[in-house]
Amino acid sequence: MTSQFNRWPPAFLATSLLLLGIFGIVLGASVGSTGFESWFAAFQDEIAWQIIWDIRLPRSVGAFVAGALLGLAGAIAQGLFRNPLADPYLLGSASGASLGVAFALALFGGNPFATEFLIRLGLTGAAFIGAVLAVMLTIALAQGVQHTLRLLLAGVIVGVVLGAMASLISLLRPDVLQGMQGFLLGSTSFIGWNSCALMFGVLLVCMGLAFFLSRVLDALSLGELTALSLGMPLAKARLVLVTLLALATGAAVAQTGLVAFVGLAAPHLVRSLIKTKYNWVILLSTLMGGLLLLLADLLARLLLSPQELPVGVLTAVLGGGYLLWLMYQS
Amino acid sequence: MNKHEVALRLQDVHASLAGKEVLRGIDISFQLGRWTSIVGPNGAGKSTLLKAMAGLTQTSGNIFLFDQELRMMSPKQRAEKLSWLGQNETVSDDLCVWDVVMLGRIPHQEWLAPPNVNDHQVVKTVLQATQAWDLRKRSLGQLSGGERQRVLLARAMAVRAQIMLMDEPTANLDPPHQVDWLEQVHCLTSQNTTVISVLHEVGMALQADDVVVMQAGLVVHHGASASEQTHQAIEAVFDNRISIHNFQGQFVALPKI
Repeated sequence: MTSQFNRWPPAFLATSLLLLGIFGIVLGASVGSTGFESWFAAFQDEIAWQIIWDIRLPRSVGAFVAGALLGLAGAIAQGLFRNPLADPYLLGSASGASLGVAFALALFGGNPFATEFLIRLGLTGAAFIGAVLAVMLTIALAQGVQHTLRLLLAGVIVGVVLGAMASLISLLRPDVLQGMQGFLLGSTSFIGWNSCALMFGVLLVCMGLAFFLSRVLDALSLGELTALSLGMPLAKARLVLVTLLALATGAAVAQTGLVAFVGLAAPHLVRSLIKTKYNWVILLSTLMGGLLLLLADLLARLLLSPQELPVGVLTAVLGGGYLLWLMYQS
Repeated sequence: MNKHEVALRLQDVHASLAGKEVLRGIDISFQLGRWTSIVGPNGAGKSTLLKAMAGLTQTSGNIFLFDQELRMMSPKQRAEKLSWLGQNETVSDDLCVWDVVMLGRIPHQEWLAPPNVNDHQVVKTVLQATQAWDLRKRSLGQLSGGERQRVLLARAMAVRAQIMLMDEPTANLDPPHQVDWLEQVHCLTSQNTTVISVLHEVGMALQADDVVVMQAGLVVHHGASASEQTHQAIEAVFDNRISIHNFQGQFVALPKI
């Protein structure tokens, strides 16, 4: 019975976003250097089938799932920190992942566009471990998760210091520079079915738990003390939510690099469409994040086709433009 | 129910904020179904006392809620019995009024259960009582300060707790809505709810049944609002810069110039 006063019921919005997402994935499978013809040829031609099934489809599905993880992380971050400008990277996971990748690149001497499976796996693992370790460092510096302001400040410090260390590595080893830049800009080019499955698993777990704790986020919107006075188990909930935030962000960053703005913009877009409680905000932000990254990925492949842009460049430009528009609106 | 039953009792309660002792040994009890105002100069510890009674700040000493020790109760048990309305809590602008007030029903709901018929009825009643029914579809960001305060008041009333703690509940309210608030408090106490409010405006505070006068972390006086001693205690903590007068059966505080 919530949000009975909105222009659109939340279930309608969720269905629309999901349908748009599926449409986008089909569209994504039709876009590429061999164009739409691959679909027609797919049933006779094995190569055409491979192009669709092994390259285009996992890439589009992966873009959607990675965007969904970022959208979910953004919704959790904004609710937990009671700040509409909070984004998934604010606990240091972005610079942690960069440092991890810088290390791995310096060790392997490769670049992320190398296709060797082991190197890809190594980079993905390094990014994930870097992201999670950075969040743990932030929590340690903030002496726990209970003091949100301290947590935010520690996140900023960890971000700056780890970012500087990653830059130092690329300064000492200029051969990793191109690889680093590729990672920092974000890319959906190398997502395979394994990555999709992994991200989807993380997404399901994180969404389920976030949904379970959505009432705490609702109560938190009245203020921390009011939430406590309503009997909310704030201490435990914070710990779980910070863990979810780190996990969802880490999983997305490891596969796609630092995709800017999706996590910040998705919950904003949802809230500009609908005023509702967190159980819906979580679901809708997840779908919205997926749709945003999928669309950005499509554009990135279409704009300069047959060349393609790193998707992070597009999300940065589009997301930045959207926020600017939002700023002049209010 | 016995009118003289004690709803809330504090024994030697101390509390500190950032290393400074803000409550320095509070012994006090509040009777069931009465309205008590807490007054005192800035920094006297009024808000901290209210938070301590709501279990929202670290304290030493004992606090009893109907003879049950506060810290022994589960958060949910406490939340059902005790409703707290804070001052200057930053509230998100995004939720609509109906949803905000429904959050007051959380203590009575199972963890993932949707609101039931009774919850809807309560929310409707408190929204009407606070003259906020017409605002129910708006989001908090679209409301004025006074409208917002009425919605937050409705949220606190929606808990239907036996004890209501309110910090500056009449802040931002215009005079007619202040009178509405007085009527709601009288209605609450007539249903045996215990109301404890921190009020800056002395005239408003003297409308209560009892007044607690605080100074420098201590309770210096606790008595009926009509009593002469209470008036003297209030004048004293405000450095005798105000004087309290009886005006047609009500008390007013006037500045001494």
